[in-house]
Amino acid sequence: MMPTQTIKYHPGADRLTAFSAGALPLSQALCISAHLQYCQQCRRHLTTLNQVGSQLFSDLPPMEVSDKLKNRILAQLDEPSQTKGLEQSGDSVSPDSSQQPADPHKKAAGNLPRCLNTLIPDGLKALPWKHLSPSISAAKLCNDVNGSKVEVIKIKPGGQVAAHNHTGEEITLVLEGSFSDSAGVYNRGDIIFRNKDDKHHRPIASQDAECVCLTSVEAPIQFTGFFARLFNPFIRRSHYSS
Amino acid sequence: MVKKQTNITELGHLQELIEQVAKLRDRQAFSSLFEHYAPLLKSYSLARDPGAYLVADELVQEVLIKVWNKAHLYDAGKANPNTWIFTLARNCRIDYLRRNGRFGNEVTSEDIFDHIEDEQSGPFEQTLQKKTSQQVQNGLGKLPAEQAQVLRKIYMEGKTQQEAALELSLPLGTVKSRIRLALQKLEIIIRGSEK
Ligand SMILES: [Zn+2]
Repeated sequence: MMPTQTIKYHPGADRLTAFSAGALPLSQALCISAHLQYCQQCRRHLTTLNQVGSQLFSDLPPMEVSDKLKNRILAQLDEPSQTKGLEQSGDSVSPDSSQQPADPHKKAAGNLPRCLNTLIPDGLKALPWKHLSPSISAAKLCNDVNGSKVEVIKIKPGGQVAAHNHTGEEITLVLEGSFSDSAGVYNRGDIIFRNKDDKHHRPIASQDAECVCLTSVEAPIQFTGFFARLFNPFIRRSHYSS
Repeated sequence: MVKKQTNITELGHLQELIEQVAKLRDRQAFSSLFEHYAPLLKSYSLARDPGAYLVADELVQEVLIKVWNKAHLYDAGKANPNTWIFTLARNCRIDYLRRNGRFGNEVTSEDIFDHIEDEQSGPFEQTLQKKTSQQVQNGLGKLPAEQAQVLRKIYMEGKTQQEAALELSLPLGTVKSRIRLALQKLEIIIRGSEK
C-alpha cells in the first residue's frame, strides 16, 4: 500500500468527473489514476462520481435486445476460451508467466503506482533514459492518438528544467522527490496542470534528492501527424529539452 | 419528470443474482441479469454511437461475458450492482475505442481503473455507499435540465467537455461550471482545484 501523506494538489471536480465517465484521453487518465493511487480523498470522490454514472446508466431508456443475442451469449458461457477470462481477471496466477511479463497484480518496482505496471514493467532504472541536459533525463512511455506524449522525467537534485512554452496542456505528477516553481512546492502524489497561458513555469528539483515525475504533454496540433514528424526536422525530441 | 426509482429491494435482488452466478454458476440467475442489464447496456452504447447496432450488441456481449467471468470479484461493499455494471460498461467502451484507434494503444482500461484500490470495504462502507447512492439518485431527479444534460453528455455519450461545449454551442467555461454546480447540488463536494 502506498504511504499515506498529505497531498496538496488534486485534479479539479470536472476533470475527475470526466475520468469517472471514461471520457478523458488515456494519457490524461493515466496521470489521474496515478494520483488516485496516492490520494485517498480523490479515491472517495471517485467512488461517489461512479455512482453518478451508475444512476444515469440506470435511468437510460431500455432498448429491446434480440433473443439471438441472448442465445449467442449463453452459448459462449460454455466455451473453454472464456475460462481464460477467469485467469486474467486477477486472483489466480498463471504459471506461464513468460507470456505476461507484467503481472498486473505485482507491485511495480520502486513503489510506483500500479497503473504504470504495463508501461514500466521492470522499474524506473530499466527505462530507455535519454539525457536532455546534464541534469535532466527523460524516457518516453507512450503516445496517445490525440498526439499527447507520456514521459517520465528525472531531474538531478537542484536541477532546473529549461524555460519552455506550452503549446498544449501539460500534466505533471510527482513520483519521487519533490520540485518547486514560482507557484509552489510539489511532493509525491501531487498533480499539476499547466497550459500555455501559465507563465511561472520553471521547475527546479529540491536540493536533497532526485525528482522523478510522470508527465503528459499535449503536442502542438500541427506536429501530431506522421508526415509532420517526417518532414519537420526541427521537432525537439522532447518537450523538456531546451 | 417522474423518475423510475430503482429501489433498494431491486438492488438487493440483483446483488443476489450476481452472487448466485459467482458461487453456483447459476445460468438462470445469469439469464435474469441479462434481462435486466442488456437493454440498458444497449442503450448506453447507442447513446454514444446512435445507429451503431452491431457495436451495441458487441458491448452487451462483452459486458455480460465479463459479468459471468468476474462475478466472483464483485464486492457489494464497494459498489452496488448498477455501479459495478456501469464501470464494466465504461471500461469496455474505452477498450473498444482503444482497439479502434480512438485512444492510444498501450494502456488498457484495466491499467487505468482496476488497480485503484479502496482499502476499506465493510458494513460501514456499504451503509455509506447506500446513503450516497440514495442521495445521488434523489439529487439527479431534481437537477436543472441543463445541468443533467451536461452530465449525460459526459457520462453516457462519452463526450469530452470540449465536445459537449461544441455540441451545445456553449463556452467551455459554462460546461465546466454546469458540472460543478450539478455536483454541488448532488452534495458532492470536491475540494481539489487545479493549480
Ligand atoms: Zn487527490
